[in-house]
Order: sequence, then C-alpha cells, then structure tokens
Amino acid sequence: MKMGASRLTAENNDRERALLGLVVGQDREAFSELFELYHPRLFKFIYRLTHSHTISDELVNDIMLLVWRKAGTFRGGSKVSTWIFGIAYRQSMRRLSRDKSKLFQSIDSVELAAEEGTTPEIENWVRQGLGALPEAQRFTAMLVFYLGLSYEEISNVTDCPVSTVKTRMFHVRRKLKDILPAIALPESERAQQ
Amino acid sequence: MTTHPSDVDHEQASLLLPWLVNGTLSETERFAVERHAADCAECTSDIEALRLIESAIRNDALTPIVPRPDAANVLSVIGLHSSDNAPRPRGRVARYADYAIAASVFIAITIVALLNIILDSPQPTIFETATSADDDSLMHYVFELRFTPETSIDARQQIFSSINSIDVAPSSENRYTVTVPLAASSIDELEVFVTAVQALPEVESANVVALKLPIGKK
Repeated sequence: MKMGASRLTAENNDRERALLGLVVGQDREAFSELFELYHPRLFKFIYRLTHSHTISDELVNDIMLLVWRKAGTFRGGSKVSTWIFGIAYRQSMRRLSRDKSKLFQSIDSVELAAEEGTTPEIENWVRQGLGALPEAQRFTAMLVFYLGLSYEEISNVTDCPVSTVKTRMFHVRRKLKDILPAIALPESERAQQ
Repeated sequence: MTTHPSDVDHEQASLLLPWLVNGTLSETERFAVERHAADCAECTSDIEALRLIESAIRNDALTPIVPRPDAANVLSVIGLHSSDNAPRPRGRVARYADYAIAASVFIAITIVALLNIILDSPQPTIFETATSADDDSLMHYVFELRFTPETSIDARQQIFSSINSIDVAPSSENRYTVTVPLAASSIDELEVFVTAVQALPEVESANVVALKLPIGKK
C-alpha cells in the first residue's frame, strides 16, 4: 500500500513537473490545471495557519501568481510541491508578520461546548497554543504534522539548515508543553487528575 | 546495557521525535529512536504528547469552506504582464501607452467595485464541504457578517439572537464572525439561510467562511 502511494506521488510529481514546464512557456491552460491542483491544498494549509478566510484566499492567489512568474526558476532539484510550498512559506511569513494583530482573533473567541477531556477541547487548546507560537515555529509545526514532511523536505521549503528545523520543533514542543500542560502529561497521569 | 552501532543519545533522539511521530524517519533512524525511547520516560511522554498534537492538528474541527479555485482571477492579473517579454515602444508613446493602460485598469477596478456595492452581494459561493452530516445533525457554520454602519448595537444583538448564533466575535467596526448551528445538510439549505440573512436591511453582507464539525460527531 505504501509502495502504491509513493508511486502515485511520483506520478503526480511527474505530471506537475510537466505542467510547470508548460507554465514556463506561458501556457495558461497548464497554469489553470496547476492552480486547481494546488488551490485547495494551499488554502486549507494557510487557513490553519491564519484562521482567516480572507487572508487565506488572498495569499493563495498571491502564491500562485508567483508560481506563474517564477516557474522558470524551478531547477528540478526538489518536488514541485516542495518548491510551491517554499513560495507559500515566504509569502505567508511576510503576511503573518504584517497582520499579526489581526490573526487568531476569532480563535480566541471560539468556545466549543466541549466536555472535559474530549478531543475538541484538546484541538481548541492546540489551536490556541499554535496561535501563540512565533510564525516560523508555527509554520514548521504545520509542515511536520499537517503536511507530514520529513526534516529534509522542511529544510528545502523553509530554506533553513536541517539543524534549524530540528531546533524549531524542539522549541515548539517545549512551548506547547508549557502552554498545554494537560496534554503534555501521559494519559495515565491525566486520568488521575 | 549493550550499545548498538546505530544508538543515539537522548538529545539526538529527542530532536527526531516529531518525525518519528509523522512517520518520515529512515528505517535506521526510526529503529535507533524507538530503541532509545523504550528506556526513556521523558521521550515516551513526549511521543504521546506529540501524537495528541498531530491528531489535533490533522482533525481540527474548524474546517474551512474552500472557495472554488478561480484561476481566471489570477490570470486576469497575469494578462497585464503577458507582454513583458515583447519589445516595448520607447519614449513618449510608451509613456502614453502606460498611462492609458493604468487609466483603463483604474476605471475597470472602479466599475467592478461600484457594481459590487450596487449589487450588494458577492458572487454566489460554490461550497466544498469536507464531511457529510446526518440529516438531524446541527452543523456549526461560521459566517462573516457585515452590518450597515447605521445599524444600532441593539439591532445587531437582535439579529444575532434571531439567527440563533452561539458565538459572536467582532472583527472590525461593523463586521463580526458569527457561529450558527444549522441543520443544513445540503448546500441548497445553507444558501436559503444565507440569502435570508443577506435580505435583512441591516446586513450589508453575509458569507459562510468555515464549518465546525459538531461535537461528538467526528
């Protein structure tokens, strides 16, 4: 099953490379196909970073516009998805720094009617915990847990050394543990509390 | 305890734990980290916490409603730059051409903005939901609701109450993020509700921006 999945991923990447090659030649149909492939993935990813529908929509369009303009700079050393998420990383970091005060407003006010210890409550805590992290750390956590990237892939996306990626995740863990002491405890200890 | 050539110390293992959890370590690394964690209470506890965090991030109940990809919108911007590689006229003619293009763009943007204001409603949104609900489920829909500036606070409160909102957060002077539980199991039913809210004279715009899965339904 895993082999099938990786073959599928390789086939997808080949198709995406072909599309990107056509985009270099300013092929609008190829761009539209690439846009439709990446729009939902980028939107859902950025929405989880920003929790703003408007900002996510604008950012995805900005990112795809850069994909069109910079397609010629893709050297093929990585997967197309890594290259596109690299653009997403830089654009999002810029935007997140600029709009810091506007983000996560709605999250602070979200009060799900969850019972103690239920999954939605943990999700709420994690969401708020992530919101309190510096942008680079929050983004790295999303790349690890939402997109499931390896540390080498994250190093490529963020253009940082692998050691920086590992250190960022170390800080994410420490901070989330401080912010969310309840989830940092093993299940057995939580049950006793 | 015997040492193994692939053994890692606590610091090395600890740094690799997030990728043990997301399953992207190489076989050698995974073996070494698991071997260390088996005898390390701190790493075992960290792995459990990281699994909870991963699960919470992947199963986040606040599922966005993704707007339909609109490549044409981006392509329309690209259209302004499509002749970047073509030889450009020089001198005064080029300047006049640039001014004419800029003026055309400004006029086009102004017309679109005015049309949006006049029509007082965004284009019908095409929704993509991540889950299906049972017919009797209350789905929690998150709306961006914008009032006309002259709407009083009391009138706003009455509208929040009349649409049974369970959570209201102001996002700017006249705009609110409002959560409403609805038994809308289809996009058609949701659009009926949105249309009714948009028809209120106090409401400038109402858009669905996210869907929260109902508690206990996951």
